[in-house]
Amino acid sequence: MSSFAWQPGETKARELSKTMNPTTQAGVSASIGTGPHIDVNRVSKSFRPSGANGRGDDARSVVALQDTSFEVGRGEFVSVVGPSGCGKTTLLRMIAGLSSVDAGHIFVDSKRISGPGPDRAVVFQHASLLPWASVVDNIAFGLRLRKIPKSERTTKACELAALVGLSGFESHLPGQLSGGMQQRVGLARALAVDPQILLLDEPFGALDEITRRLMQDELLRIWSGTGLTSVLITHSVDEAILLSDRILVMSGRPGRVIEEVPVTMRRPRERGMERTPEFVDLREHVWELLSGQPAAQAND
Amino acid sequence: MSYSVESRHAGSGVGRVGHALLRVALPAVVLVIVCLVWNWYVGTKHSFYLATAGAIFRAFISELGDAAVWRALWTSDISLLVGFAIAVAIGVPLGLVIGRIKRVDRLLAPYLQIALVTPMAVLMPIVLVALGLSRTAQIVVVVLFALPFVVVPTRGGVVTIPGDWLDMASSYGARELQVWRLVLLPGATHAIVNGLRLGFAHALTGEITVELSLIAIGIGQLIIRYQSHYQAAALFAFVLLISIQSIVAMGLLSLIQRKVRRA
Amino acid sequence: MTETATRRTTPAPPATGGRRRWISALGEFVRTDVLATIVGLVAAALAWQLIALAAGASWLPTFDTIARRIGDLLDDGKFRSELVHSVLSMLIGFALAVVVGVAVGMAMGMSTLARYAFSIYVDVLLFIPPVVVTPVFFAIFGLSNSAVLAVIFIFAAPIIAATTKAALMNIDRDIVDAASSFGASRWQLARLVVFRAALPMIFTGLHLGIGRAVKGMIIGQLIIAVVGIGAYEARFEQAFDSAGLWSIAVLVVVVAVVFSWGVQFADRVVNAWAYVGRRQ
Repeated sequence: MSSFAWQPGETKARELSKTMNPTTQAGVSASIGTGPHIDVNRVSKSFRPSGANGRGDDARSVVALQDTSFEVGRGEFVSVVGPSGCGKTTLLRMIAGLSSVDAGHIFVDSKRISGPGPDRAVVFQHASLLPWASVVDNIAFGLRLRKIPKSERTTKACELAALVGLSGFESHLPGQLSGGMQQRVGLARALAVDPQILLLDEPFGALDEITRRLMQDELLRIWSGTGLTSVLITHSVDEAILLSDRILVMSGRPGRVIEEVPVTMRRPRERGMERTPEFVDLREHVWELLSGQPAAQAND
Repeated sequence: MSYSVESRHAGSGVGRVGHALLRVALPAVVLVIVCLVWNWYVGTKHSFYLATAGAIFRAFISELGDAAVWRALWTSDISLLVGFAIAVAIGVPLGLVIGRIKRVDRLLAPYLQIALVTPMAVLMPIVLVALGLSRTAQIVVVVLFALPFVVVPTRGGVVTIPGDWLDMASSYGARELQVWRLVLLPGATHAIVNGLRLGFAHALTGEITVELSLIAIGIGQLIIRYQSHYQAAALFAFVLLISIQSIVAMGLLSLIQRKVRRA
Repeated sequence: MTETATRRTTPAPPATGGRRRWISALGEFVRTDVLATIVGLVAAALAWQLIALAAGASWLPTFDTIARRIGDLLDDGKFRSELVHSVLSMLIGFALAVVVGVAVGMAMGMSTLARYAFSIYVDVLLFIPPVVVTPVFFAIFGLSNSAVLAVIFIFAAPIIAATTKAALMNIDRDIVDAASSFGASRWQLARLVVFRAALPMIFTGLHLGIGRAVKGMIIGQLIIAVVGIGAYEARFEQAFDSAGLWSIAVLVVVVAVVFSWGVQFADRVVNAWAYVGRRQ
């Protein structure tokens, strides 16, 4: 095995994509099938910021999202950027089924969602791996929940470990891994359940810059092999432009989509593209939109 | 900020007032059930050693006005307070020294560990043999019970003072006494107060244990009297009274500890 | 570029399989804590000998006197059986306390209603010295072993319950979130994630509990003084038999330390993952 852990993985990605998602195999940005994959329809959400037992002052109720609407097409990679506390994470959690919607609806494949489902998988900012389980056991977790037999899920987990460049670390504990490696496990875990939709909540936010750039390249490589519908939450405008087909720029609290910015640079994306005029223009445009927005208040 | 897994805890719909009510109602329900089960059990046993919840309550009320009861409590409390004071007078300086001097700390560490785990009760008969059935013996027992739990947190308080603070102090040329006054003591105050609270709890245990088992001067004497006269309700009520005294004392200490934390 | 990157992300320890992890965790524990305690005890024995010789007090016999006395006692079949009986009582009482304590603690940790109902009583039991309940158990169970078991239970159970509750309330919510995002049912969450995440702190509670259980055994037996080694203590005390009393004290210390190690052993086997590459 070479020390360039990615290259063998690249072929793995192509092989796996055949088993993973027959529907999206047809093309990265093709939108076949009826209607959008994800349909967020006039969604609102408020919180009472308080302790765990929900005792709070109604008057200080925080409106995280107000009348937010957008769609995501099949196989599309969409990023959501916005100031701190604009409700991006809340939005993602609602699509994932981890939070309830106060007003409006969220449809996936024209069906209203009501909780987590096998079609959607999340990659979290802090990998949130089970600290007592090895890399392979963590990757296989979703499969275990579905009562897939052990040998089958171990094989698949090992394959995915190779895909994300962690061959040789299968028996390691999360405590023995660096932040970047933990995130790779988180990504592999999400891919293991063959989701239709990949939801990424600032997956590289906790990493140092070098690791972050490497992980962005990783994600591009893996995603191009699978072509999953993806929603990425990020603070980094550059990251959003590099990775996505479309960027949703959100306003500060209460959160709403101000503008949808398409990114039409050709795929597969490369690092060099960051210096193209197209990229620079996009970056300027998005920043302009963002700097018109106030950040969240201090009682966040 | 974590509003995690809301969908699972969605719609408790009870609201603040509801929760406050439940906090009072549920324990009350548990208490009532326990009393009912207790009374049923007492009914089946027909023993002179048992009394119904009602009888216990009545005995409790009458004991509140009984001078002999308060005298017994106070007699025991004297040993408790004196013993605790001695334990603090020895234990706090000892803990500070152990925490400050690494060599001493390493030397004494396993003994402190053993002292925490060992039941001091096992030394009680030895104290008795050495000092007889006296108040002095009682006080020594209380000191033995409390000492480890005053020393160890105090030491902990000194040991966990960030090295940076000490470095800073010495870089300004502070002498040992000044380091104590300006850095170590203020930094260790919380831990010391915690040690006082724990030490008192164990002093309490020591006092009650010695009274009930070996040297019955105060509450022990009263308990023996109730037992030999088959005054079951009075006995239970007295146990309740002692418990309440403990709760009040510990509650006060916790309050003081919280005030210190705020300071 | 890539090569440097992969090297950067490779941490030092090689992969250790699950089996070997607890062995190495245990090994480290034995090497550090256990050895230190044994060395300490040996040093204490030496110091004792010197002090006893110097002081010459009747209530402080020399260590070799005590050692010989311990030997005699252990030779005595009756004493041995009482000792074993006491130790077994303690384990039974402790086991009861663990089962009830963990169950109540988990209920309080996971259900708001259970917490409202029981917290106040657990807190009260933590506040009062457990010994105060001894006359009550004496009244209920009479002069019997059950009374001592009850005392042991009441000494250990509250701290186990309180620590278990804290353990459950302090688990990393992010992990629970992540697990439920993969569609874990409530039962799966509790079994696969919540319980395991809480285990390390639950074991802390067990460690605290075993210390209290030993205290409960001694105090219970001293007060309800007819069974076990407590009875022997009472007899020795009557006879002003200092050597005998110290012998029992030493034996009890040994028992307490051994059981404390037992719990810590179990902790490192069950929660080996928490000790990997870290000094607790």
